[in-house]
Amino acid sequence: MKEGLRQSMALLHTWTGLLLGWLLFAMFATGTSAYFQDEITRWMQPEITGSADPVASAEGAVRFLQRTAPDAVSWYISPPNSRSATTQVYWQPGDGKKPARRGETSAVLDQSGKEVSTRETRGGFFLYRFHFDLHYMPVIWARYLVGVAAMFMLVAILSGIITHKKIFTDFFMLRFGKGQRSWLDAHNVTAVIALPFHLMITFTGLVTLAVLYMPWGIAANYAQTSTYQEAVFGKTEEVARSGQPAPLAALGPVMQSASAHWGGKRVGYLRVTNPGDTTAMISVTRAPEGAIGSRGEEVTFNGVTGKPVGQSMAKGAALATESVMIGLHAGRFAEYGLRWLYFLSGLGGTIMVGSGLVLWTVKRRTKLPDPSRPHFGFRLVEKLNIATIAGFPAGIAAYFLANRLLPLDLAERADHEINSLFLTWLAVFVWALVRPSARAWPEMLGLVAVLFAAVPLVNAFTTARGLPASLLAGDWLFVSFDLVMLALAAGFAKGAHKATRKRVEAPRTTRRKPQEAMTA
Amino acid sequence: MTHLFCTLLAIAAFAALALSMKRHQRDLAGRTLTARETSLARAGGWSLIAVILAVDVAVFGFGYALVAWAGQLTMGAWFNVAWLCWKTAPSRKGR
Amino acid sequence: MAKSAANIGGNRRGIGRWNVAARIIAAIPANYLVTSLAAACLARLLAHGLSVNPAEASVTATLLSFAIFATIALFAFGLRSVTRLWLWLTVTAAICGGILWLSLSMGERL
Repeated sequence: MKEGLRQSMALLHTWTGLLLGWLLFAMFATGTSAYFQDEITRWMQPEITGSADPVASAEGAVRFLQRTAPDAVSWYISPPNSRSATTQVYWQPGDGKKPARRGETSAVLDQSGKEVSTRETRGGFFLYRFHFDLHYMPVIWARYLVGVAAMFMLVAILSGIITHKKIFTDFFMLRFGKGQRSWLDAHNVTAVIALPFHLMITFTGLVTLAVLYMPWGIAANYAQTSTYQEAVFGKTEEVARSGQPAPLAALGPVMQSASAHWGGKRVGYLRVTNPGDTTAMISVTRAPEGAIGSRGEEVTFNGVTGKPVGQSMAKGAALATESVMIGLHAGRFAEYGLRWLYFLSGLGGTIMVGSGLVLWTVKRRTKLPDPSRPHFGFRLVEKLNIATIAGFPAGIAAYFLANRLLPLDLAERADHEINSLFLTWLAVFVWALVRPSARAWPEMLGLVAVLFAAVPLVNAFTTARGLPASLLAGDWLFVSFDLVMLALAAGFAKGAHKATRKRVEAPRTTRRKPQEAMTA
Repeated sequence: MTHLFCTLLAIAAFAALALSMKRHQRDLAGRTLTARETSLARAGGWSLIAVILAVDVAVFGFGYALVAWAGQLTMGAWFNVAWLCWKTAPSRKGR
Repeated sequence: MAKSAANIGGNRRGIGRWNVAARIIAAIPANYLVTSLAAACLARLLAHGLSVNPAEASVTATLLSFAIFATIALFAFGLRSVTRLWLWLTVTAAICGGILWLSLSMGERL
């Protein structure tokens, strides 16, 4: 009955992969881009150049916050790191009022503590948040949906392994240009070569939001989640202000002391509670690049004397494992070499999901009773494939283009950038609906190629940091961004070319094989 | 720099492993290898994979090394697939 | 029993609708229930049976729960007999639920 197991696993693989495959494609694409979210943000804020000193920046941020929010409950300061040049601050207002807008309690500062003037954008951060929060819908539902998709992915990977045990010895056998076989090979090779990555990224992805998806392990031992959180992250009790003013300790020595405590690893961010009061405290968290674990160590200092008063407790094996799993998923610890490997693996994952989706239609086309008039389900999958595999990348390209093309003083500019992503996606979907699929494929893949190719061009015309200029200046961040855009354009152009050729050859490959089992 | 070096080693490692498989020998070497050569290629491939891990551990420390190792091997495998794919493309068969 | 296996394989006349529906219900909602009970039960057993730190015990159970869920989902489609599948699920749920109930009635939560 071994054949029965293989067939049922093949069925499971097909349907878990297909049902949420379009969402998984978008999650893979944005997740991959999120490995470079800081770099994308820097590209989308071309006004900001150079680098900044973390200590000077933190002290500049304190001057800004003392002017802006002297009576805040707490300040959060992220000084610039190896990948950014600005300081992010936000604060919890002292009057307890909810801010009307995001911008009211946060700011982006330069080294001297002045607010930077740059175009309004959410940059790479938006792509990162879309990866698990999606958009235009309540975050909590988005996260449940994303979790279901991730679990489908995990089951699809495992059932795929069981079905296709043989391909592990075959993974040098990728051949392009042979109809169904080449789609199958593209899917297999992208899946098998980066299998450790796919398994890791899917499982750890579930772990990042584990408490949301599977709260029962904690609920079994703790009547209240807050008790658990205190046990794990330490008490974060709010101490009331004493009302007696006292100057805040200088942040420079505090940061050096914390850094020395971690064997020279850098400071990630600082939290100051009750600033300007005798009860002030400064908590310093280690930078994520210091270790794989995502739960950074924390050292707490007295906010007036600057003397260390405590540190986060050592973690047991399970909490350390969880911390490492989340760290592995987000890859914040990775320096540039490994970051590129993460990015390329993610790209491979995106191709795996995309080729799997296409494979579903390719495998079924030849078995249709009448290939020229496919049934509704087949047409739906085909249209959604075009809308996703061409439409979502087109949307991302449009997001970058909007960043350069929208007027700088436009109201709600950041939101319009995001809207242009979704409008482009919608437009491709509509196009896919009204055109015959065989024509829509090359047209839309070609459009994506044109859009990606346009990004470096538009960048060169609208900023002083075009590809030739950044090459001359040795500005590798901008050079890499533009080159990745061109590489994506080339990839999609090749796809469009293949899709055009397939259409010409199509009539020859439409044979009927209704007796064959529907396994994929 | 270590990543580049290790990725190059990984390319060599997977090329050796591909050489140890009968179906790829003609594509890569132009002839079928003897049993001795085949087992040599297999041993060479696997030992290179071990060497890469050793280099990574020495440079990065254990945890980071495992992640880097997986990434470098992935790239090495990709390169070989691309190369084999190009070498055996139908348009080149005629030559 | 052999008939259901042939049906899920799809090599007879299509796929038995009720068979597939029973498996989908087993693989998603019933699976979630069983996995939740197993995770809660494991967290209790580790914390009170093996006196592991409760936070550690809870996190261990939570991390394992995703592997448990995926495994049950695979079994829901891999097992030949739907009856056996549901029997397994019911027995597992009953055992985990029983242990959890006993454990909760013996010791309070934190």
